[in-house]
Amino acid sequence: MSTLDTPTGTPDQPMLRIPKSSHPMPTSTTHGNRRIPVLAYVVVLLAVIGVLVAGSQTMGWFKTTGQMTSSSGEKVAPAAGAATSDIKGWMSIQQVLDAYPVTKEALYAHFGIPADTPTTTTLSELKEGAVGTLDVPTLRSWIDDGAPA
Amino acid sequence: MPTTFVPRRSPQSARQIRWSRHIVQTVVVAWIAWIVWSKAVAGPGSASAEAFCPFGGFETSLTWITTGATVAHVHTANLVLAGVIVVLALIGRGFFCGWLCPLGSIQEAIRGMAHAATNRAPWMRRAGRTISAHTPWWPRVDHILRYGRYVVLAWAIGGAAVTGVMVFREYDPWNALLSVAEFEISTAFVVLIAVVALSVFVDRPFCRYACPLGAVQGLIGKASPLAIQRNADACLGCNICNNACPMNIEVNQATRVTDTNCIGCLECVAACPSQDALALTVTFPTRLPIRTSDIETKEGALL
Repeated sequence: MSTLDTPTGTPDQPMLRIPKSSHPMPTSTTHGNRRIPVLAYVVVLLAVIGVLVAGSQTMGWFKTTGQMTSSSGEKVAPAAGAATSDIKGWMSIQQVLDAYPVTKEALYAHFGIPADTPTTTTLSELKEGAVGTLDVPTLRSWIDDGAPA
Repeated sequence: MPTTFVPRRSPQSARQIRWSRHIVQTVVVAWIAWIVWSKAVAGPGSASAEAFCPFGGFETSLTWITTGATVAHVHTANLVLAGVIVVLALIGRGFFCGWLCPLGSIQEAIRGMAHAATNRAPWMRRAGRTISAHTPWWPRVDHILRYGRYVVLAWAIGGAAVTGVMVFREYDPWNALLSVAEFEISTAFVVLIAVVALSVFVDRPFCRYACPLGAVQGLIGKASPLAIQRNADACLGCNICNNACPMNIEVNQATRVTDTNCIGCLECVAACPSQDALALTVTFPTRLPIRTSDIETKEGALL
Protein backbone atom coordinates (compact mmCIF):
# COMPACT_ATOMS: atom_id res chain seq x y z
CA MET A 1 0.00 0.00 0.00
CA SER A 2 1.34 3.39 -0.94
CA THR A 3 -0.03 5.27 2.07
CA LEU A 4 1.86 6.25 5.18
CA ASP A 5 0.85 6.57 8.81
CA THR A 6 1.95 9.94 10.04
CA PRO A 7 2.62 11.44 13.43
CA THR A 8 -0.15 13.99 12.82
CA GLY A 9 -2.78 11.45 13.76
CA THR A 10 -3.80 10.52 17.28
CA PRO A 11 -4.27 6.99 18.59
CA ASP A 12 -8.01 7.62 18.41
CA GLN A 13 -7.89 9.00 14.90
CA PRO A 14 -4.85 7.86 12.94
CA MET A 15 -4.24 9.68 9.67
CA LEU A 16 -3.10 8.62 6.25
CA ARG A 17 -1.00 10.73 3.93
CA ILE A 18 -2.19 10.93 0.34
CA PRO A 19 0.84 10.08 -1.79
CA LYS A 20 2.04 12.88 -4.10
CA SER A 21 1.88 10.41 -6.96
CA SER A 22 -1.82 9.82 -6.35
CA HIS A 23 -4.22 11.26 -8.92
CA PRO A 24 -7.63 9.83 -8.10
CA MET A 25 -10.39 10.28 -10.64
CA PRO A 26 -12.28 13.47 -9.74
CA THR A 27 -15.86 13.14 -8.56
CA SER A 28 -18.75 15.32 -9.56
CA THR A 29 -22.41 15.26 -8.59
CA THR A 30 -25.43 17.50 -8.88
CA HIS A 31 -27.29 15.59 -6.16
CA GLY A 32 -27.15 15.84 -2.43
CA ASN A 33 -26.34 12.75 -0.45
CA ARG A 34 -26.34 11.57 3.10
CA ARG A 35 -24.41 8.72 4.71
CA ILE A 36 -26.35 5.65 5.77
CA PRO A 37 -25.03 3.64 8.71
CA VAL A 38 -24.40 0.05 7.64
CA LEU A 39 -26.44 -1.31 10.52
CA ALA A 40 -29.43 0.81 9.52
CA TYR A 41 -29.06 -0.36 5.90
CA VAL A 42 -29.20 -4.01 6.96
CA VAL A 43 -31.87 -3.68 9.64
CA VAL A 44 -34.22 -1.59 7.48
CA LEU A 45 -33.96 -3.88 4.46
CA LEU A 46 -34.40 -7.03 6.55
CA ALA A 47 -37.40 -5.36 8.20
CA VAL A 48 -38.85 -4.59 4.76
CA ILE A 49 -38.62 -8.28 3.88
CA GLY A 50 -40.18 -9.27 7.20
CA VAL A 51 -43.07 -6.84 6.88
CA LEU A 52 -43.85 -7.78 3.27
CA VAL A 53 -43.69 -11.54 3.91
CA ALA A 54 -45.65 -11.32 7.17
CA GLY A 55 -48.22 -9.09 5.47
CA SER A 56 -48.67 -11.48 2.59
CA GLN A 57 -48.98 -14.41 4.99
CA THR A 58 -51.70 -12.55 6.87
CA MET A 59 -53.50 -11.94 3.60
CA GLY A 60 -53.18 -15.63 2.71
CA TRP A 61 -51.03 -14.98 -0.36
CA PHE A 62 -47.90 -16.75 0.81
CA LYS A 63 -48.51 -20.37 -0.21
CA THR A 64 -45.44 -22.58 -0.38
CA THR A 65 -47.22 -25.60 -1.77
CA GLY A 66 -49.95 -26.30 -4.28
CA GLN A 67 -51.62 -28.68 -1.85
CA MET A 68 -55.00 -27.76 -0.50
CA THR A 69 -55.71 -29.00 3.02
CA SER A 70 -58.89 -29.28 5.03
CA SER A 71 -59.28 -27.72 8.44
CA SER A 72 -58.16 -31.07 9.92
CA GLY A 73 -54.98 -30.90 7.84
CA GLU A 74 -55.94 -33.60 5.31
CA LYS A 75 -54.99 -33.15 1.68
CA VAL A 76 -57.94 -32.11 -0.43
CA ALA A 77 -58.05 -33.00 -4.10
CA PRO A 78 -59.79 -30.73 -6.59
CA ALA A 79 -63.52 -31.32 -6.96
CA ALA A 80 -64.93 -32.86 -10.13
CA GLY A 81 -64.95 -30.37 -12.97
CA ALA A 82 -62.07 -28.31 -11.57
CA ALA A 83 -59.66 -26.59 -13.96
CA THR A 84 -56.75 -28.71 -15.11
CA SER A 85 -54.39 -26.09 -13.70
CA ASP A 86 -55.37 -27.55 -10.30
CA ILE A 87 -53.62 -30.83 -11.17
CA LYS A 88 -50.51 -30.98 -9.02
CA GLY A 89 -47.66 -33.40 -8.62
CA TRP A 90 -48.73 -34.38 -5.09
CA MET A 91 -52.05 -35.79 -6.38
CA SER A 92 -52.48 -39.54 -6.76
CA ILE A 93 -53.64 -41.15 -10.00
CA GLN A 94 -56.94 -41.97 -8.29
CA GLN A 95 -57.52 -38.31 -7.38
CA VAL A 96 -56.97 -37.34 -11.00
CA LEU A 97 -59.38 -40.05 -12.15
CA ASP A 98 -61.97 -38.86 -9.62
CA ALA A 99 -61.74 -35.20 -10.52
CA TYR A 100 -61.36 -35.26 -14.29
CA PRO A 101 -63.17 -37.00 -17.14
CA VAL A 102 -60.55 -39.62 -17.93
CA THR A 103 -60.46 -43.40 -17.52
CA LYS A 104 -57.70 -45.37 -15.88
CA GLU A 105 -57.18 -47.50 -19.00
CA ALA A 106 -56.87 -44.47 -21.28
CA LEU A 107 -54.51 -42.71 -18.87
CA TYR A 108 -52.27 -45.74 -18.43
CA ALA A 109 -52.22 -46.49 -22.14
CA HIS A 110 -51.52 -42.90 -23.22
CA PHE A 111 -48.62 -42.37 -20.82
CA GLY A 112 -47.23 -45.91 -20.93
CA ILE A 113 -47.85 -46.58 -17.25
CA PRO A 114 -47.58 -50.30 -16.36
CA ALA A 115 -51.00 -51.78 -15.62
CA ASP A 116 -49.94 -53.02 -12.19
CA THR A 117 -49.09 -49.49 -10.98
CA PRO A 118 -51.40 -48.74 -8.03
CA THR A 119 -53.66 -45.74 -8.40
CA THR A 120 -52.42 -44.47 -5.04
CA THR A 121 -49.13 -43.56 -6.75
CA THR A 122 -48.66 -39.80 -6.94
CA LEU A 123 -47.87 -38.00 -10.18
CA SER A 124 -44.56 -36.85 -8.67
CA GLU A 125 -43.61 -40.45 -7.90
CA LEU A 126 -44.38 -41.45 -11.48
CA LYS A 127 -42.22 -38.62 -12.79
CA GLU A 128 -39.36 -39.18 -10.36
CA GLY A 129 -39.44 -42.93 -10.88
CA ALA A 130 -39.52 -42.45 -14.66
CA VAL A 131 -42.62 -44.65 -14.76
CA GLY A 132 -44.18 -43.98 -18.14
CA THR A 133 -43.97 -40.59 -19.78
CA LEU A 134 -46.36 -38.69 -17.56
CA ASP A 135 -45.64 -35.21 -16.37
CA VAL A 136 -48.10 -32.68 -15.02
CA PRO A 137 -48.09 -30.11 -17.87
CA THR A 138 -48.55 -32.86 -20.49
CA LEU A 139 -51.36 -34.43 -18.47
CA ARG A 140 -53.12 -31.07 -18.20
CA SER A 141 -52.85 -30.50 -21.95
CA TRP A 142 -54.05 -34.01 -22.69
CA ILE A 143 -57.16 -33.61 -20.54
CA ASP A 144 -57.80 -30.13 -21.94
CA ASP A 145 -57.59 -31.58 -25.45
CA GLY A 146 -60.35 -34.06 -24.60
CA ALA A 147 -58.83 -37.21 -23.15
CA PRO A 148 -61.05 -40.30 -23.73
CA ALA A 149 -63.47 -40.59 -20.81
CA MET B 1 -4.00 23.58 -1.42
CA PRO B 2 -5.06 19.93 -1.71
CA THR B 3 -5.68 17.87 1.40
CA THR B 4 -2.60 15.88 2.31
CA PHE B 5 -3.85 13.95 5.30
CA VAL B 6 -7.06 12.01 5.61
CA PRO B 7 -8.43 10.00 8.53
CA ARG B 8 -7.77 6.27 8.42
CA ARG B 9 -10.79 3.97 8.55
CA SER B 10 -10.94 2.18 11.86
CA PRO B 11 -10.46 -1.59 11.78
CA GLN B 12 -13.64 -1.93 13.84
CA SER B 13 -15.64 -0.26 11.08
CA ALA B 14 -14.35 -2.70 8.47
CA ARG B 15 -14.92 -5.64 10.80
CA GLN B 16 -18.46 -4.47 11.55
CA ILE B 17 -19.33 -4.39 7.85
CA ARG B 18 -17.81 -7.78 7.09
CA TRP B 19 -19.12 -9.54 10.16
CA SER B 20 -22.65 -8.14 9.72
CA ARG B 21 -22.74 -9.53 6.22
CA HIS B 22 -21.21 -12.88 7.05
CA ILE B 23 -23.62 -13.39 9.94
CA VAL B 24 -26.63 -12.61 7.74
CA GLN B 25 -25.29 -14.88 4.98
CA THR B 26 -24.68 -17.72 7.44
CA VAL B 27 -28.15 -17.44 8.92
CA VAL B 28 -29.75 -17.56 5.45
CA VAL B 29 -27.66 -20.54 4.31
CA ALA B 30 -28.48 -22.35 7.57
CA TRP B 31 -32.19 -21.61 7.12
CA ILE B 32 -32.18 -22.97 3.57
CA ALA B 33 -30.22 -26.04 4.71
CA TRP B 34 -32.84 -26.61 7.39
CA ILE B 35 -35.66 -26.39 4.81
CA VAL B 36 -33.85 -28.86 2.53
CA TRP B 37 -33.29 -31.21 5.46
CA SER B 38 -36.93 -30.91 6.59
CA LYS B 39 -38.09 -31.71 3.09
CA ALA B 40 -35.82 -34.74 2.94
CA VAL B 41 -37.15 -35.98 6.29
CA ALA B 42 -40.81 -35.05 5.93
CA GLY B 43 -41.00 -36.02 2.25
CA PRO B 44 -43.57 -34.76 -0.25
CA GLY B 45 -46.09 -32.39 1.25
CA SER B 46 -43.75 -30.18 3.22
CA ALA B 47 -42.74 -26.87 1.71
CA SER B 48 -39.98 -27.23 -0.86
CA ALA B 49 -37.02 -24.87 -0.64
CA GLU B 50 -37.89 -24.05 -4.25
CA ALA B 51 -40.98 -22.32 -2.91
CA PHE B 52 -38.65 -19.72 -1.40
CA CYS B 53 -36.86 -18.92 -4.67
CA PRO B 54 -37.84 -15.43 -5.83
CA PHE B 55 -36.87 -16.13 -9.40
CA GLY B 56 -39.74 -18.63 -9.71
CA GLY B 57 -42.04 -15.65 -9.31
CA PHE B 58 -40.35 -13.80 -12.16
CA GLU B 59 -40.42 -16.90 -14.35
CA THR B 60 -44.14 -17.28 -13.92
CA SER B 61 -44.87 -13.55 -14.08
CA LEU B 62 -45.94 -13.43 -17.74
CA THR B 63 -48.10 -16.54 -17.37
CA TRP B 64 -49.62 -15.22 -14.15
CA ILE B 65 -50.40 -11.82 -15.65
CA THR B 66 -51.96 -13.25 -18.80
CA THR B 67 -53.79 -16.31 -17.38
CA GLY B 68 -53.89 -15.90 -13.61
CA ALA B 69 -52.23 -19.32 -13.18
CA THR B 70 -48.68 -20.18 -12.24
CA VAL B 71 -46.39 -22.54 -14.12
CA ALA B 72 -45.55 -25.91 -12.57
CA HIS B 73 -43.46 -25.87 -9.35
CA VAL B 74 -44.29 -22.23 -8.68
CA HIS B 75 -46.58 -21.11 -5.89
CA THR B 76 -47.85 -17.76 -4.73
CA ALA B 77 -44.95 -17.58 -2.24
CA ASN B 78 -42.61 -17.27 -5.23
CA LEU B 79 -44.68 -14.37 -6.56
CA VAL B 80 -44.64 -12.65 -3.18
CA LEU B 81 -40.87 -13.08 -2.93
CA ALA B 82 -40.43 -11.73 -6.47
CA GLY B 83 -42.37 -8.67 -5.33
CA VAL B 84 -40.13 -8.41 -2.27
CA ILE B 85 -37.09 -8.51 -4.55
CA VAL B 86 -38.49 -5.66 -6.64
CA VAL B 87 -39.03 -3.56 -3.50
CA LEU B 88 -35.59 -4.49 -2.14
CA ALA B 89 -33.90 -3.56 -5.41
CA LEU B 90 -35.79 -0.26 -5.56
CA ILE B 91 -34.61 0.59 -2.06
CA GLY B 92 -31.31 -1.21 -1.60
CA ARG B 93 -30.05 -2.03 -5.10
CA GLY B 94 -28.24 -5.41 -4.97
CA PHE B 95 -28.81 -6.11 -1.27
CA PHE B 96 -30.34 -9.52 -1.91
CA CYS B 97 -27.37 -10.69 -4.00
CA GLY B 98 -24.72 -9.42 -1.65
CA TRP B 99 -26.30 -10.26 1.69
CA LEU B 100 -28.97 -12.91 1.28
CA CYS B 101 -28.50 -15.12 -1.79
CA PRO B 102 -27.28 -18.51 -0.52
CA LEU B 103 -25.79 -19.47 -3.89
CA GLY B 104 -23.79 -16.26 -3.92
CA SER B 105 -22.66 -16.89 -0.35
CA ILE B 106 -21.48 -20.40 -1.24
CA GLN B 107 -19.56 -19.14 -4.28
CA GLU B 108 -17.99 -16.48 -2.10
CA ALA B 109 -17.01 -19.00 0.56
CA ILE B 110 -15.33 -21.22 -2.03
CA ARG B 111 -13.47 -18.28 -3.52
CA GLY B 112 -12.43 -17.19 -0.03
CA MET B 113 -11.01 -20.63 0.71
CA ALA B 114 -9.19 -20.65 -2.64
CA HIS B 115 -7.74 -17.22 -1.81
CA ALA B 116 -6.59 -18.42 1.58
CA ALA B 117 -4.92 -21.45 0.01
CA THR B 118 -3.24 -19.28 -2.64
CA ASN B 119 -1.89 -16.93 0.01
CA ARG B 120 -0.26 -19.86 1.78
CA ALA B 121 1.30 -21.35 -1.35
CA PRO B 122 3.84 -19.16 -3.17
CA TRP B 123 3.78 -21.39 -6.26
CA MET B 124 0.04 -20.79 -6.58
CA ARG B 125 0.57 -17.05 -6.39
CA ARG B 126 3.22 -17.27 -9.09
CA ALA B 127 0.93 -19.42 -11.23
CA GLY B 128 -1.84 -16.85 -10.80
CA ARG B 129 0.45 -14.01 -11.86
CA THR B 130 1.66 -16.01 -14.87
CA ILE B 131 -1.90 -16.74 -15.97
CA SER B 132 -2.84 -13.07 -15.60
CA ALA B 133 0.18 -12.01 -17.63
CA HIS B 134 -0.73 -14.39 -20.46
CA THR B 135 -4.42 -13.53 -20.62
CA PRO B 136 -4.60 -9.81 -21.36
CA TRP B 137 -7.78 -10.48 -23.33
CA TRP B 138 -9.65 -11.76 -20.25
CA PRO B 139 -11.18 -8.41 -19.14
CA ARG B 140 -12.73 -7.99 -22.58
CA VAL B 141 -14.11 -11.55 -22.56
CA ASP B 142 -15.36 -11.05 -19.00
CA HIS B 143 -17.16 -7.89 -20.10
CA ILE B 144 -18.90 -9.66 -22.98
CA LEU B 145 -19.83 -12.71 -20.89
CA ARG B 146 -21.60 -10.47 -18.40
CA TYR B 147 -24.40 -9.96 -20.93
CA GLY B 148 -25.09 -13.68 -20.54
CA ARG B 149 -27.34 -13.13 -17.56
CA TYR B 150 -29.69 -10.95 -19.59
CA VAL B 151 -29.87 -13.68 -22.25
CA VAL B 152 -30.68 -16.23 -19.52
CA LEU B 153 -33.30 -13.87 -18.08
CA ALA B 154 -35.09 -13.45 -21.42
CA TRP B 155 -34.94 -17.18 -22.12
CA ALA B 156 -36.19 -18.18 -18.66
CA ILE B 157 -39.17 -15.80 -18.58
CA GLY B 158 -40.04 -16.14 -22.27
CA GLY B 159 -39.60 -19.91 -22.23
CA ALA B 160 -41.82 -20.33 -19.16
CA ALA B 161 -44.53 -18.18 -20.76
CA VAL B 162 -44.45 -20.12 -24.03
CA THR B 163 -44.09 -23.69 -22.74
CA GLY B 164 -45.84 -23.44 -19.36
CA VAL B 165 -42.88 -25.05 -17.58
CA MET B 166 -39.80 -23.51 -15.99
CA VAL B 167 -37.29 -24.08 -18.79
CA PHE B 168 -34.44 -22.72 -16.67
CA ARG B 169 -35.16 -25.20 -13.86
CA GLU B 170 -33.36 -28.02 -15.67
CA TYR B 171 -30.15 -25.95 -15.69
CA ASP B 172 -30.59 -24.02 -12.47
CA PRO B 173 -27.73 -24.71 -10.03
CA TRP B 174 -29.92 -23.39 -7.23
CA ASN B 175 -32.44 -26.13 -7.98
CA ALA B 176 -29.63 -28.69 -7.99
CA LEU B 177 -28.38 -27.40 -4.67
CA LEU B 178 -31.84 -27.81 -3.16
CA SER B 179 -32.05 -31.36 -4.51
CA VAL B 180 -28.55 -32.28 -3.42
CA ALA B 181 -29.94 -34.63 -0.76
CA GLU B 182 -31.53 -36.70 -3.51
CA PHE B 183 -28.14 -37.44 -5.12
CA GLU B 184 -29.63 -36.99 -8.58
CA ILE B 185 -27.13 -36.39 -11.39
CA SER B 186 -29.01 -33.91 -13.57
CA THR B 187 -27.98 -31.17 -15.99
CA ALA B 188 -28.53 -28.66 -13.20
CA PHE B 189 -26.21 -30.68 -10.97
CA VAL B 190 -23.49 -30.55 -13.64
CA VAL B 191 -24.00 -26.76 -13.88
CA LEU B 192 -23.70 -26.57 -10.08
CA ILE B 193 -20.43 -28.49 -10.14
CA ALA B 194 -19.16 -26.18 -12.90
CA VAL B 195 -20.12 -23.13 -10.83
CA VAL B 196 -18.37 -24.54 -7.78
CA ALA B 197 -15.25 -25.34 -9.82
CA LEU B 198 -15.19 -21.90 -11.47
CA SER B 199 -15.63 -20.24 -8.08
CA VAL B 200 -12.12 -21.37 -7.22
CA PHE B 201 -10.74 -19.11 -9.96
CA VAL B 202 -13.37 -16.40 -10.49
CA ASP B 203 -15.38 -14.38 -7.96
CA ARG B 204 -19.09 -15.29 -8.11
CA PRO B 205 -19.05 -16.76 -11.64
CA PHE B 206 -22.76 -17.59 -11.72
CA CYS B 207 -23.70 -14.12 -10.45
CA ARG B 208 -21.53 -12.47 -13.09
CA TYR B 209 -22.41 -14.45 -16.16
CA ALA B 210 -25.64 -16.35 -15.77
CA CYS B 211 -27.82 -15.29 -12.85
CA PRO B 212 -31.16 -14.01 -14.21
CA LEU B 213 -32.27 -12.83 -10.77
CA GLY B 214 -29.16 -10.67 -10.54
CA ALA B 215 -29.99 -9.26 -13.96
CA VAL B 216 -33.49 -8.29 -12.82
CA GLN B 217 -32.15 -6.62 -9.69
CA GLY B 218 -29.41 -4.81 -11.56
CA LEU B 219 -31.95 -3.27 -13.89
CA ILE B 220 -34.50 -2.37 -11.20
CA GLY B 221 -31.74 -1.20 -8.84
CA LYS B 222 -30.87 1.58 -11.27
CA ALA B 223 -33.79 3.45 -9.71
CA SER B 224 -32.50 3.01 -6.15
CA PRO B 225 -31.43 6.12 -4.25
CA LEU B 226 -28.85 4.10 -2.30
CA ALA B 227 -25.33 3.64 -3.65
CA ILE B 228 -21.69 3.74 -2.69
CA GLN B 229 -20.46 7.32 -3.02
CA ARG B 230 -16.80 8.15 -3.57
CA ASN B 231 -15.21 11.34 -2.34
CA ALA B 232 -12.20 12.09 -4.55
CA ASP B 233 -10.74 14.43 -1.97
CA ALA B 234 -10.23 11.58 0.47
CA CYS B 235 -9.43 8.96 -2.17
CA LEU B 236 -5.86 7.65 -2.07
CA GLY B 237 -6.03 6.28 -5.60
CA CYS B 238 -4.74 2.96 -4.26
CA ASN B 239 -7.11 0.61 -6.17
CA ILE B 240 -7.81 -1.46 -3.04
CA CYS B 241 -11.54 -0.95 -3.56
CA ASN B 242 -11.34 -2.33 -7.10
CA ASN B 243 -9.48 -5.39 -5.93
CA ALA B 244 -11.94 -5.97 -3.09
CA CYS B 245 -15.01 -5.84 -5.34
CA PRO B 246 -16.21 -9.38 -6.08
CA MET B 247 -17.91 -8.13 -9.23
CA ASN B 248 -14.77 -6.35 -10.52
CA ILE B 249 -16.42 -2.94 -10.62
CA GLU B 250 -13.97 -0.06 -11.04
CA VAL B 251 -15.09 1.72 -7.90
CA ASN B 252 -12.26 4.24 -8.04
CA GLN B 253 -13.48 5.53 -11.41
CA ALA B 254 -16.98 6.38 -10.19
CA THR B 255 -18.59 9.20 -8.30
CA ARG B 256 -21.52 6.96 -7.41
CA VAL B 257 -21.34 3.22 -7.93
CA THR B 258 -24.54 2.68 -9.90
CA ASP B 259 -23.20 -0.22 -11.96
CA THR B 260 -25.86 -2.90 -12.59
CA ASN B 261 -23.33 -5.46 -11.34
CA CYS B 262 -23.11 -3.89 -7.86
CA ILE B 263 -24.36 -6.37 -5.25
CA GLY B 264 -24.23 -3.93 -2.34
CA CYS B 265 -21.82 -6.11 -0.37
CA LEU B 266 -19.87 -3.05 0.84
CA GLU B 267 -16.57 -4.93 0.50
CA CYS B 268 -15.11 -1.86 -1.21
CA VAL B 269 -16.14 0.32 1.74
CA ALA B 270 -14.72 -2.16 4.26
CA ALA B 271 -11.45 -2.45 2.33
CA CYS B 272 -10.92 1.27 1.78
CA PRO B 273 -8.20 2.55 4.14
CA SER B 274 -9.53 6.12 4.04
CA GLN B 275 -12.45 6.80 6.33
CA ASP B 276 -14.18 9.37 4.14
CA ALA B 277 -13.42 8.12 0.63
CA LEU B 278 -16.22 5.59 0.27
CA ALA B 279 -19.57 5.48 2.01
CA LEU B 280 -23.02 4.09 1.52
CA THR B 281 -25.22 7.08 0.88
CA VAL B 282 -28.76 7.94 -0.04
CA THR B 283 -29.01 10.55 -2.76
CA PHE B 284 -31.68 13.17 -3.18
CA PRO B 285 -32.26 15.97 -5.67
CA THR B 286 -30.98 19.38 -4.68
CA ARG B 287 -31.01 22.81 -6.22
CA LEU B 288 -27.32 23.26 -5.61
CA PRO B 289 -25.34 22.75 -8.81
CA ILE B 290 -22.48 20.89 -7.14
CA ARG B 291 -22.91 20.26 -3.48
CA THR B 292 -19.71 18.77 -2.17
CA SER B 293 -17.09 21.30 -1.23
CA ASP B 294 -14.47 18.60 -1.50
CA ILE B 295 -15.11 18.38 -5.21
CA GLU B 296 -14.31 22.04 -5.61
CA THR B 297 -11.14 21.52 -3.64
CA LYS B 298 -10.13 18.63 -5.83
CA GLU B 299 -10.88 20.50 -9.03
CA GLY B 300 -8.89 23.41 -7.69
CA ALA B 301 -6.05 21.06 -6.98
CA LEU B 302 -6.17 19.66 -10.46
CA LEU B 303 -6.09 23.13 -11.94
